[in-house]
Formats: sequence, C-alpha cells, structure tokens
Amino acid sequence: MLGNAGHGLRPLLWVKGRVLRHLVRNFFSGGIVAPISVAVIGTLFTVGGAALFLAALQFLASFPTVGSLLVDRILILFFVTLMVMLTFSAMLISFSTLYKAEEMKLLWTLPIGPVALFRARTGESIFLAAWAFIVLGGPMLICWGVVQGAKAEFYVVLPLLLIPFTLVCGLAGALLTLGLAYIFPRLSWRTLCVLVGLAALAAGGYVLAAFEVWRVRGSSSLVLLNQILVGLHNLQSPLAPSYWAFAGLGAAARGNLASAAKFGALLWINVLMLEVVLARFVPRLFFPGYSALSKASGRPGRKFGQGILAWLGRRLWFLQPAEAALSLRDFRLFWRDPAQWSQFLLFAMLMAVYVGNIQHLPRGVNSPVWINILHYLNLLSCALLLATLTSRFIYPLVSLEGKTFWVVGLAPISRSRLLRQKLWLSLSTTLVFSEIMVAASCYRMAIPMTRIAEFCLVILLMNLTLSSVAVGFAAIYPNFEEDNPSKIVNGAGGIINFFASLTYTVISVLVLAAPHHFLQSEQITPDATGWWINASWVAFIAMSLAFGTIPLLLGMTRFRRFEF
Amino acid sequence: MIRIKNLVKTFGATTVLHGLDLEIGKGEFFCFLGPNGAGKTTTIKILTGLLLPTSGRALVGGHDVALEPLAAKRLMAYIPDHPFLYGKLTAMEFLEFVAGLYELPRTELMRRGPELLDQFGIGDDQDRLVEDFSHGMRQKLVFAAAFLHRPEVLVVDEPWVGLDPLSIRSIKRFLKEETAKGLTIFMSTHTLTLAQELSDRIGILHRGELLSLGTAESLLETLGGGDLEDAFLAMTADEAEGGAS
Repeated sequence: MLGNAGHGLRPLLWVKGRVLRHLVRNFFSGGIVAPISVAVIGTLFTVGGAALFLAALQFLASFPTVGSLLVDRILILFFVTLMVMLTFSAMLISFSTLYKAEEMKLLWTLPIGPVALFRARTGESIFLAAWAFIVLGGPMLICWGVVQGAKAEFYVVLPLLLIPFTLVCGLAGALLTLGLAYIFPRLSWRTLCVLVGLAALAAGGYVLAAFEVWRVRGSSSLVLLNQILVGLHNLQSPLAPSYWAFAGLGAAARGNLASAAKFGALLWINVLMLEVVLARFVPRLFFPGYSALSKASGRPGRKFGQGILAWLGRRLWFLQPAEAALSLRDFRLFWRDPAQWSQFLLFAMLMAVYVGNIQHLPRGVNSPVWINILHYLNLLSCALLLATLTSRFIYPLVSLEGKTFWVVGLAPISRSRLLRQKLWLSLSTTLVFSEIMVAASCYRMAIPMTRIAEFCLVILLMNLTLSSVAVGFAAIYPNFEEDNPSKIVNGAGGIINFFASLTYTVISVLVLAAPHHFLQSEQITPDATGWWINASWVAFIAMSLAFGTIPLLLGMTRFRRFEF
Repeated sequence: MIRIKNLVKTFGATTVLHGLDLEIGKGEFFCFLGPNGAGKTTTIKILTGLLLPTSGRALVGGHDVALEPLAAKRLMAYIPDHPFLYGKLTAMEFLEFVAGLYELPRTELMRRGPELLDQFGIGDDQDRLVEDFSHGMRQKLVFAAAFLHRPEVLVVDEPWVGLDPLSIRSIKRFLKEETAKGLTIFMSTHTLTLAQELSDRIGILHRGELLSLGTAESLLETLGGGDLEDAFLAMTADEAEGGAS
C-alpha cells in the first residue's frame, strides 16, 4: 500500500543487498592483494590487540585484593566509551546518509514510505558507525571473560547483549539527528549560534565535571588506586544502556542467566521503544527536515574576497598557485561541511579533555619505571590521535577529487603535484594539533623539557610518515565513485591504511620506549644506554622512511597511470 | 590543432576505438556524432588526458596528450556532460579555484571572472553558493570556468542539457564568435540540428570507427538529400536494428 509509511522497505533492502554483492565481487575481482592484505592485517590486529588486552587485564587482575574489581570496572569504562562513541558516530553518519547523500534525491522520488527509508538508511549508518567497534571490541570482551573466568554462558550471551546495545546507541543517534535536522533549519542564525554556544558550554561543563573524578591527587599508591576505583564506579549510571550491557555481561560471567536475561530484555525493550518513537516521529519530521535542509539557503553570500578563508588564501603565497588554490578549496569545503568539522570538533574536544585531565597523574607515582611507562603511554596516545586524524580526514581527500577530475585532471598540474598538495595539507593541519597536544599534555604531566622536545620531534617525524601513509594508500586504493568521506574511510583501502598507521605508531613508540624502560628496570647499564637510545632512533627513522616512502611511491606510480 | 592518429582503446576484451584518425584545424568547429556506445566519450577522455590510449596518439597543439600532458592541458578546456561542482563554493570562488589551477594572476581573475559570469548570465549570482544554483546555472558556470584561461581548444561533451532556449542561443553565438577568433571546438552531441547549424565539419563515429567525415552538406549529398537526422540514422542503421531486435 503506497500510503503506508513503512512501504518499500523490502525492495530497498534487496537493492542494498545487490549493491553489496557487486561491491564484494568488485573487491575480489580487482586482484588478490587487497583482500589478502585486509584479511591478514585485520586478523593480525584483532588477534594482536586481543593478546595485548588480555595481557593488560591479566596484569590488572594480578593486583592483590582489588585485581578482580579493577578488571570489572574496566568493563564499565569500555561500555561508557562505546556508548558515547557509537551515539556520536551514528549521529554524524546518519546526517550524511539521511540528508546529504545524492542517493536520497532518487529515493525520495520512489514510492518508499519515510519510515522504510529511515529504517534502511539508519541501518546502513549504524553498520558504518559500529562495525569497527564491534570487530575490535568483541575480542576484547572475550578476553575480559577469559580473565574473569566466565562460564560458557557468557560467550553465548555476549552477542545477544552487544547487538541490542549497538542498536540502542545507533537508533538514539539517528533520532537525535532527525530532531536536530528538523529544528535547526527553522531557527535564525543568531538563535542557532546562541543555542550551539549554550549547548557547547553545557557539554563542556558536564564533561569537565564528569572527568573531575579522574584528577588523581593522592601521593600514595593506595589513595591513587582508591580514587581510580571511585571514579570508575561513578560511571555506572543504572539508567544508561552501558550499565545494562555491563551488568548483563557481568551476570552472565557469573553464570546468573536470569539476571543476564533481565538486562538483555531491558536493552531489547529499549530498542523496541526507540522503534515506536521512530514510527511516530519519522513520518512527521523526516521529509520536512530533509526539505528544509535541501532547499536553497537563500543566504546572501559573502562578497568575494572577504572573510577569514579569503584572508587565509591570500597568505598562501609560499605555495605554488595551483597548490594554494587546491588548499584554499579544501579549507573552504571542510569549513562549510558540518559533517566534517563536527567530527573534527569531537577530536578537538577529546584532545582538550585528555590534556585537561592528565594533570598530576605521574606525581602520584613514585616508581621511575612507572613514570617512564606513563610518559611513553602519553606519547602513544598523542600518536594514536594523529593516526586517527590522518586516517579520517586526510585519507579521503584523494578519492574526493574523483568527481571533479574533469577540472582538476584537466588543469596543467601533474598528478604527483596533486598528491604533494594533499601531503602538504595534511602536514600543515595535523601537525599543529598533534604538536600542541603532545607539548601540552607533557607539560601538564611535568615531563622534563628535554623529553618534551624529544617527543615533539618524534611527533613531527610521525606526522611526515603518517601523512605519507594516508596519501599513499589513498592513491593506491582510490574510490572515485563515493563522495561521502565516512564511506571512503570504511573501504578496503581505508582499513589497510588505518591498520598500517596503527602498526607503525605502536611499534615506533615501543622501539623508542624500550631503552629507557630497560634502563629504569636495570636490565641494561647506564653506560650502554646511549648506544641503545641511538640504535632505537636509527630504527625509528628507518621504519618511518620505509612506512612513509613505500606507500607514497607506489601510490604516485599508480595514480599517474590511473584512468578516469 | 587536434590530431588523432590510429587511436586504439581496449577495455579488457572489448575494443572501443579501432584505429581512429582525425585532424581538426585551428578555428574549426568540429562536431562528433554517434549512437550511444560508439566511442565518443572514450575519444574525448583520451583527448583530455583522463584515459590513456592502448595505442596510437592524440595531439593537441602539437603536444602528445599522453607524453606531454601538461603542455597539452594548458591549451585546453573541457566541458563534460554532467560536471560535478563544489556546492559549498560560490561561483566566484570556483573561478578563483580554476584560476589558481591555471596559475592566472589575480588581476586577470578579478577582471575576467565577473566579465565571463555576466557573459553567461549569472553575473548577479557570483557570490551565491553553487548548491543553490539550478542545473542550467551550473552549466553556465562551467562554461565561464572553461573560458577563464583563454583556451585554444575547447572539448565539449553534450553541453546543452539544462539550458533554456535563450541561453542556448546566446552560447551558440558566443562559441561561433570564439571560433572566428581562432578557438578550436571539438563537440560531441546528440542534438543533430545544432551540429548541422554550428559545425564546420561533422564526424560520425560508429562502433569505434569513423564512418563519415565532412561538412553537413557533403554528408547529405553523399546520401542523396534529406536532413542530417536521416543521414545519421541511415549510417548507423544496423545499430538501431540491433537495438530493436
């Protein structure tokens, strides 16, 4: 029945299935290198990550008296983080898939009910937002079960709890987007700015207050441990889905299936409740919101040559004109696309929360071994953030050129130069954030200035390498058909790039940290340390060169011969 | 100005172009006709450097597009059938971007940009975001961008989609004026009446081979009268029959 808001779901799912089938076929028909790379790297990372997580959990569990409690609290931390990330990701991705995708222009013209359309597209968004968390988080949860000595029921219950938990977070994110997309276009710019400002202040205040518990100020290990346990305990709100998943899994691990079923039922009931909300509000809000966002903005444009970006463009004199034009265009498109900068804002907020709450942590720890470990863990955090930035924001840039290659490809600039521009853009933007983060976090941890300088140099080299990795893999595996950066990142090339970036980052920090750790733990003499440190730097630089240049050269060769 | 020598292009087992030969002189308006799948877009993509030939050569202004792509591209502009534009740039910002790619001085952009936007009838919209433009307005912006760096060769793939009759007439006149000044135009189109009206010579491509080359009059003469549509359908009849069967 055409009048039914849910009409059309089945053919829509069918066509999505066919598209997926063709994508998989194309992926395998393009040679065996990409599928094998994804399979090998994915397996190595999943198994390797799980092994590392298992070792870390076993280490925590070995703490006398509180070991089991600490491992237990890690689980709630995992679910709280997962809940926040999933909801935000679903919000951002569903904004692209529901409102901005070109495909929607076709789908709205077909006899598909808004509810069916919303369900199908939201399912896609939730899959895109959640698959990486599930693939990486699933093995971690299995490790948690192993360390806690969970009964067999735990492993059966695990997917039954994880699926509704993912659906609750994803649906909540998509419904929030539905509401915001309906309301925002109806507000004046001034009201919108005031509301966004107030929301940002409230969110910032909440985050700071919530993370206040992390400001550990004790001087003894016991006080420190107690504060960590209290902080983790405070994250357990019984009203949050993260608590239901945590409590359900905890009960399953203890063999209490009745309690696990209760929490599982609670999660599924909430999925159904969100379905009711969806069925009630989607027919009223979806198309009006889409229509309001799609219509001409009607805003008088800023006069040409005015504004911050035009000012910035005039200051790119040190670049070749073509590179300056490409960079200015990239800045403009990024600045004017809310889906892009809001994700970047999320990164910046995470960075601010991290730097703001890391204060005093090493001061409570007296052991030089632990102080050294914490210093390098901080370096690892900064490097991982950098790897995430290059993977999320730099990697899609090459593919995004595809649709406009009729103008960029026709211009008298070589394709190598085009890739060099992406490299420059990556360096100039991510370097600022990563250097600020490493310097600020090290300063707050009261790390000696010489080591701060050393870490800044490490991040500089990592920036060069990770930017080259992202641009190189982007040129090897471009996706010129897609204009949604989130989808480009989720492709085979994006996954390979992400894993390669993570591998390089983790191994580099381990190599650099090793001599200092061996010295502090008295496994090498102070006389031999200099040699070890020099050797670790030589290894780090060699690895950076290999990781940076090989994908970039391969990418340039392939990109030069690429046909459009 | 354009020389295509024994051009062959294969995609896997399929040969799309079978040794195409063509020469187009300076200031000539050349129209390329052919049924769907004849190889017109492939020829254009090779000519503009978006595809590499399997064998043979394509030269623009004496520069081999595959061997000296930058020298050839400096002379060229391309207007595709469905150009993708950045919705989040204004018309003038898009021209600024194109000017940067062709390394034009800013003074040239500031003088020529608004002039071209006026010429194509979107001068009042220069500071509006392209996402607010209609299809026809976007097409006009693409024309303006193509002429910004004063190309010597213009390659156009079915440019009339979305344009209103007045705009079509204005653009036709503009293109004729430009060819009189020495611009070479290579246009692929399905609008046979426009091809007949505008072109100095017409080439009919079918299954990757040039079936006919000459002026509209000579083509009609060869087929013993009628109009260009009759001539075209007569030459590509096996395609139509094949399609119907």
